[in-house]
Amino acid sequence: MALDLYSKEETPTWKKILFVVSIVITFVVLIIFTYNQFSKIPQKSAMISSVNIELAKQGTEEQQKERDYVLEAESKLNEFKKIYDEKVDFDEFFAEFSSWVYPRVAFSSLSIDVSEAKLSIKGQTDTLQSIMQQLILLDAKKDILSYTISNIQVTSGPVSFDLELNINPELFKKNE
Amino acid sequence: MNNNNLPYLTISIALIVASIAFFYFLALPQYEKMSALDKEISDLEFKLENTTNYFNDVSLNAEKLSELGWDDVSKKIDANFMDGPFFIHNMEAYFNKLVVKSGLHLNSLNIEGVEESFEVKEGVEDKGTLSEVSVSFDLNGDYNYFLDLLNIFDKQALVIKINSIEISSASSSGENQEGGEVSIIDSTYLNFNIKGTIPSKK
Repeated sequence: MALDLYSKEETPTWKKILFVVSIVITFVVLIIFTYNQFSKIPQKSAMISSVNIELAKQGTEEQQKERDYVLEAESKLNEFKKIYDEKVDFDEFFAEFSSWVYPRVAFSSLSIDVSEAKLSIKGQTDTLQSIMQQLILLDAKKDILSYTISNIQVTSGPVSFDLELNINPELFKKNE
Repeated sequence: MNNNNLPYLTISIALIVASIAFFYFLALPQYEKMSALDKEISDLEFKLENTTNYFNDVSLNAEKLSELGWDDVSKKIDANFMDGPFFIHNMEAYFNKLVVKSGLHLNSLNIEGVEESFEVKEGVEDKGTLSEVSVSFDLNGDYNYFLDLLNIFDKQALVIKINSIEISSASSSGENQEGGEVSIIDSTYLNFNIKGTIPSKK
């Protein structure tokens, strides 16, 4: 058998496969890069622009007017609420007060100090017995926290006295 | 060893190395960039959602305020935020009207704590701060009329904060009568001294 000096040696299959694989890898990388560069990134950039445009559309002149209107109302209401919460209500106090007076007792003066929840009263009655009845009546009232009676003057005429009451401050508060 | 095999191997290795380098230096930064863009989109969408919700709420509240007649209510509430050079005169006229309405007789009315001078700057809206002005009334009349006056005060949009009340018997001249017997419950001619405050802008 003659030796064929011109015949080429066959390239091993693994080298061919490696070559094909390397080309495929190269193509895949190029495709990924191209897809990202020319499709995905511009798509995301476009989305950002679109959201920015939407954002810019917010806060139109009309919306800002509405916002100013609401904020001004809120501020005014808060200020008014602060003032209104400090308001004193006398309805409950005077309704209660009428039940604190013993029928034979008359008051010649009454001073109401709302901040201290204190009453100073000058009273008159016919007998000492009536003063005692008045005190018993005051004892029974839960809204009277404490009281001081002083300056009891018994003359030939009516019996006069001074009374100081510390009362429940809630009586001056508004019932919501 | 045959040299024909060399290009295959060399080219394959060169392509693989180039692909790896290409991916590392060019494709990977793209992913980083896309990740940053995703974050930016997410932040912007969140901001857009918040802004949209905020303005929707504002619009809804503005609608509700209109439905509730806020413009009229606001004008009434404004009585509590008054100021200006005619404040005292306006208040005197206002309180006189209320007292007359109650049926009591007004002996005197004092309004204190209002600034005497009032500066107006053109083009500048003076928001001012809220302050309290002292008001005191000296009144004569029936006890029930007095209760009516308190009721009238209570119904006013102007918040009149009463700090103290003094009730005593009164002579027809309006002076207190020492030792005069008066029942608070019975309707009698009495003297009432009311001290309180009203809000004002300073």
